[in-house]
Amino acid sequence: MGMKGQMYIIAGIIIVVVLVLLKTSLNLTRIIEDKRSLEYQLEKLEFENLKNEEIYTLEISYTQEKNTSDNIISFTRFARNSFSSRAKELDGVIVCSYINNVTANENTTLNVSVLNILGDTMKSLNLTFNGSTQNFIDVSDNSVAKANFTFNTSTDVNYTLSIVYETSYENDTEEILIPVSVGKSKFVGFFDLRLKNDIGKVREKFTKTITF
Amino acid sequence: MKGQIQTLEAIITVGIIAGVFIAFYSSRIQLPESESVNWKLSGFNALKIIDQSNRLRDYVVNNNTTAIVSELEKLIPPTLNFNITICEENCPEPKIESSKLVSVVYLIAGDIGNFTKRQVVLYIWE
Repeated sequence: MGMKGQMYIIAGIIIVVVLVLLKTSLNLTRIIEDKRSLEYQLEKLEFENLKNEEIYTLEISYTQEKNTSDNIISFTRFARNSFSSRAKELDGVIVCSYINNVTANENTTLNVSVLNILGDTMKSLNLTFNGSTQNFIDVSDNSVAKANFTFNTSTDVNYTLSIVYETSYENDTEEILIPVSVGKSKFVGFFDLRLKNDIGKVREKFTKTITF
Repeated sequence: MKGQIQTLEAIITVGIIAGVFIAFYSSRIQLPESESVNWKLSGFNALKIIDQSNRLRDYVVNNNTTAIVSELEKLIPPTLNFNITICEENCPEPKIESSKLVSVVYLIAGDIGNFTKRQVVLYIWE
């Protein structure tokens, strides 16, 4: 009988323990992670939309061969502005290579345009094709570096275009395959795109070749 | 005297329970809500489905918002309201009064032989 008061305290402690357990079982971390996972899923869908439209730009520009590079650069800047207005950052490098109608045993020109959207100046940019190198210094963000290279072939051949660049935060080298076919025009688009926001970052490198 | 001590102990017990309850449950914890992200995913996937059927480009290039809305009605849950805007660079702010409004943007580069940059902005609210 003399223990009645202490029993209340013991019962109270048990109730408190139950309340604390209930509280901790509400796993906030899990809920937050689930939400972030959904947001990342949306970001990946948006990136997929961007990638598809870059490729589509290339495909629908075939009727206006020489505008393909301009269209890709224009679409990328447009997409970058759109993402920027939604607090998302689209960064990367795009290389557009165009060969107009290869004739056997005659000098043919490869036109190369490099769009820098890295969010930083390229302190140096070196393009190498068929043993010839062209160097650029201080290619600012959102600007395009253009170069022409010459080659001469009697048969179909695969060349490599090498891109080496340096910014304040990264050095990168890319090797792009340029397949040359006698009697044909070619467009090779190389894309290194990165979409980021406070949730995370999606990055993908891809190449698309069109034969005219 | 014994009865008074028991009463005091009971009061202490009630005090402990009340204190813990207030400390843990009184502050309204802001649980992160996933509903708005789900609306966005639902809206974006709906636009993607129309795009995969090769009709979205044609509607967008021809500024046919009615056709897009008609298709979206079959894909977006009927409990949600929605509206779309097709724009190029600067999209106008929507005149929608809702405390909970989300939007997704779908990019379109045009249609075959017609390079046209467009944003399809889908607004969803309850």
